[in-house]
Amino acid sequence: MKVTYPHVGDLTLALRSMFGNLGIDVVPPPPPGMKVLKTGAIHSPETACLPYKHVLGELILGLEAGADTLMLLGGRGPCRFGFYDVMQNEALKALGYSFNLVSTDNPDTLRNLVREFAAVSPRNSLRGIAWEVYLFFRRVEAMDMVHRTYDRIVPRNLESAGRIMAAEKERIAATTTLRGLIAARKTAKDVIESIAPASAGRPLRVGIVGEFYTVLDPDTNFHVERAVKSFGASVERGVWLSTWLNDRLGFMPFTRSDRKRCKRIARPYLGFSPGGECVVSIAKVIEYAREGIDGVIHLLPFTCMPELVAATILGRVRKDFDIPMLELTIDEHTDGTAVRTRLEAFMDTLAWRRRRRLDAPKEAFPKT
Amino acid sequence: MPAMDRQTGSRGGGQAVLRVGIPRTLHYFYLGRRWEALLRGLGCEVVVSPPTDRVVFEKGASLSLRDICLPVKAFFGHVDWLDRRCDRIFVPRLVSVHPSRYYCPKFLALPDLAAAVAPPEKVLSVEINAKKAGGSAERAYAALGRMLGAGGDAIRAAIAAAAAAGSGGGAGESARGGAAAGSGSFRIAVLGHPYLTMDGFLSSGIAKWFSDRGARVILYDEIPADAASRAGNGLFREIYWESAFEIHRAGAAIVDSGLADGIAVLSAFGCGPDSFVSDLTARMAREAGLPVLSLMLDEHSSIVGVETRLEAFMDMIAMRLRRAGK
Repeated sequence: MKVTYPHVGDLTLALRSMFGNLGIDVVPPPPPGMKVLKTGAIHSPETACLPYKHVLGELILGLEAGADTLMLLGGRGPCRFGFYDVMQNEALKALGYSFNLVSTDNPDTLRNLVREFAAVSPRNSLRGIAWEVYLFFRRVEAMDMVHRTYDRIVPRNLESAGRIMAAEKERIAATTTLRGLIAARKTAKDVIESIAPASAGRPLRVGIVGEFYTVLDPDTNFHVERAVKSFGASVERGVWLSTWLNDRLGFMPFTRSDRKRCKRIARPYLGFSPGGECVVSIAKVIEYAREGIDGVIHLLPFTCMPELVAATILGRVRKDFDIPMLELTIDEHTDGTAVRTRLEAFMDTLAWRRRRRLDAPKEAFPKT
Repeated sequence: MPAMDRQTGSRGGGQAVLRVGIPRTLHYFYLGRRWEALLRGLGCEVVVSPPTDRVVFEKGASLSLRDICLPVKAFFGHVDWLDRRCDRIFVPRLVSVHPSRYYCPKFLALPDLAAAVAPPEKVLSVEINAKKAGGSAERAYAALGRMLGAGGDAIRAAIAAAAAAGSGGGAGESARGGAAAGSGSFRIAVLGHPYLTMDGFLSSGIAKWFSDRGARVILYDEIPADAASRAGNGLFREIYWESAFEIHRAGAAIVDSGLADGIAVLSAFGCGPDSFVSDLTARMAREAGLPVLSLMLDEHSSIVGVETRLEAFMDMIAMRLRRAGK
């Protein structure tokens, strides 16, 4: 049995070590890029959302590379994500592939996830598997911590700093024990914090919110974080894999649900969560505005239902809080240069606003 | 509150009667008539926006993000139309009417979306959510009555009147996308969200086009609920969007019981559930050998643009019927 699974940001790295430790034979997802996306897009409904096309492309290439088992996350709506596995099952069957589909949807719990892994693992100790799944979560959490620390600095040399972060994530992924993981996490934090900053001044701060996949996957969002940093700004990201996993599956029973907190913050604008990251996007923009972040980038795949709700409502939030926002809609036809140009204009706006605020006497600009 | 007021259900205190608007789009086509009766029973003056036309739609499109779905653009136009004529706009939050299904994310956030284009304090809303204990429509209607200051008897009477009004959004040709009811030499099922197929503007009058050419047009609410023999159609998980589920179920019923000679599957540009389920419905019909036409509608659609395809579709059906000796 050879298992393949979709690629989402750092998830691939964290899963790789878990599958290795569980003795599961895997075909890792192909390197993300146009080939994957085009492969998926030609076999997808025209207006299906971008992550769907991406995942389908990966599954097709994975099956071509010899995989026979697909591991997918399922769901129960209302966003389209919960129906991916059903649609992909139909599409792949129609293409003539035979495969075994493992979907962790019913019920969407940690216990079920462990059982699904047990079904594909040659190891038979449920306890051992549960421990590996727990370690997997802790690894994701550590990688997110490293990334968050990195996001807040503006390094002098972007290239080498990026390499340092990737190496630290690799080291975390390679750990096999909790003790080793905790040590690696501590070292990584120190290493990242010692990266030389570009300047001593207070850099512009840019928030990034939006749909889960588009925010998490740099190859999908045209490396927007790196681009923002290249303009000398630090990044505050609103979506994290570990937060999502914890809110959904409850790895850490005593960690407060970030989603519940977001629902509370977004309540004046959104009375009901319509799925996806909609409440998170709205709540984080409100939070960022209160913290005095300079501007927010909202990323969404073309036709994404929850994020279009968020984008509409954010039109109101943006006026109420006077915070500049750039909305970037991404699909397989989006062009990197166009994204870069818009980003450049946006960053100019933020720099101009910052200067104006610093130059002007305080009372001339009443708080809106 | 004085007893008199309770009887008439008015808000009391000598205030003018509250003018409440209902947008004639989206969920109006599910429960609109019921809501009209309900609000009248609660002592409001009810204004229903006119059927979608170019002016209403373009205003709505100008208020929306460019890539939001077609029906929501129309919705914004209706909200804007009502905003200039009413005290309040009734936009219920229709979450679910069946415990295992939702309406689409935009329905779930509809009052909040309305508040993005009209003054938030004007939006009058209650939540109908069968997934939640106490989330039934009756409870929601009672809450609405209390919100409007009606007494218990008036609320009970209004709910009874609403139940008697039946579901759907009006009757007659205008509510059937302009298609005449009755007989024809062959039957074409026009499948799609009711707010699409029953809206003559959004559907570019496709139903009317068919019926003008002698077809008997069947809309999805005319397919009996128990006609489908295979509930999930071989999918390993049921479709969880209410409207898409119903459309697919109707498609399965047509395929299984031969209720139509051809299926036209209409989907709205930008509609999430449609992007997935229209594909499934069309594939199901194709596999069963039933003529199927998939049309995606957007604001640039016009009957002229799709006429060739409609004609080819009709010709195909006519040819097949001739061959079958009908």
